Amino acid sequence: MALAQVVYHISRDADFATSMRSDPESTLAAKGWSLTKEELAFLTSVLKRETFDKVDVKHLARALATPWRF
Amino acid sequence: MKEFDQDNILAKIESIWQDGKAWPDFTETMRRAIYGGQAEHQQLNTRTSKWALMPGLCCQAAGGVLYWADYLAAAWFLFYTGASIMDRIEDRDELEAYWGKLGPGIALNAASGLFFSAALALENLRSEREDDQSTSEVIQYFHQSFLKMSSGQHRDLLQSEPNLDEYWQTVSAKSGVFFALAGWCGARLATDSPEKLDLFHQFGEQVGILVQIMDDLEDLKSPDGEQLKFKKGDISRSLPVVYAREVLTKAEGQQLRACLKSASEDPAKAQEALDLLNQSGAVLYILAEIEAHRERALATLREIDSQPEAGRHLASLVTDLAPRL
Repeated sequence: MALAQVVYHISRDADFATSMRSDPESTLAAKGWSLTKEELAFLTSVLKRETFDKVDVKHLARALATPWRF
Repeated sequence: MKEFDQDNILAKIESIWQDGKAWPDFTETMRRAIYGGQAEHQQLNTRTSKWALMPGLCCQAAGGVLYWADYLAAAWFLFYTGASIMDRIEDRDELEAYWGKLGPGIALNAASGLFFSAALALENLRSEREDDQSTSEVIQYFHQSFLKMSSGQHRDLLQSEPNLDEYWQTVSAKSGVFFALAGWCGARLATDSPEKLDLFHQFGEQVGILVQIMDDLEDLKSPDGEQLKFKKGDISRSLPVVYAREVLTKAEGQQLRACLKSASEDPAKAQEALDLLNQSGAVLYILAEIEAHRERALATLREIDSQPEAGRHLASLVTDLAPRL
């Protein structure tokens, strides 16, 4: 569950987020965490965006929610 | 490519009911389950039509012909509709409005009828293909998959507050298995290559996981426009909440639980719960998971080296379901 821990630290720890932005591989290695290539690529690209913080759970649900029912 | 022949599959379902001598009023009830709010028009909604394509597209992508999978698609869809009714009743969710005053007993019996109709559709597949080896394997895989899904549902019902590991295990066992079934069985009608079949299984599993993530977000939508109130029902097993419980401090986790208890009635508590989810990084986590599963599904599809037109349609099922924000 490394992804959950990494995301939580990015959201709560500004220093960790800054470090992830500049050198993600070393930052993760220092914590003993590893991510899949898809997860790392996504987080790296998101950290470079300035608009990301504006998306909240409510907006996410409105944009993407789709019921299981076909 | 032959367009999805909705009428052809629906006609097969109707003939199963007729040949099976289901009584007219019971047939009408099963029909109502299948068409949902559009029973009068006997038309599936656009989304249903699109998803019902999946077994046929996987058959075509593996080198077969779309209509080879018509009975398989009918069985998959019938099983899905029956399972969907049972899932709602087992989870104590509200039944769709069209059940009206009929109630859960009638709905459960309709689900039983749909399961047996699906079993008959598989028998018709066997007759149509003259009992070849692939059909036997498809039917066995089909039933084993539903046994796995029932196992996943059993575990899910027993876990009121799953942790993140348990959540992903359950999603794989339920939604993942259901869509992996469409991938593997559709492809098996056209190929016996174990490597190729494994890729179709993987593709379907990733699609199924994406479907469940999107469904979980439904729980966080406010049904009353701008007024924030969560839908009634248990959202403690939804991904954003499971994630937040996993990473928040103990005190914050308890605060979240307390808010969620009254969030369906109290907009202020719902807002407090949303604030906690936002602070936990739930949006980023969910987007990262969506991205990872979407990319794995698309990469698997590329590896399959499928028939181009079917491959494009399968890819669009994924990108329509999980667009990049």
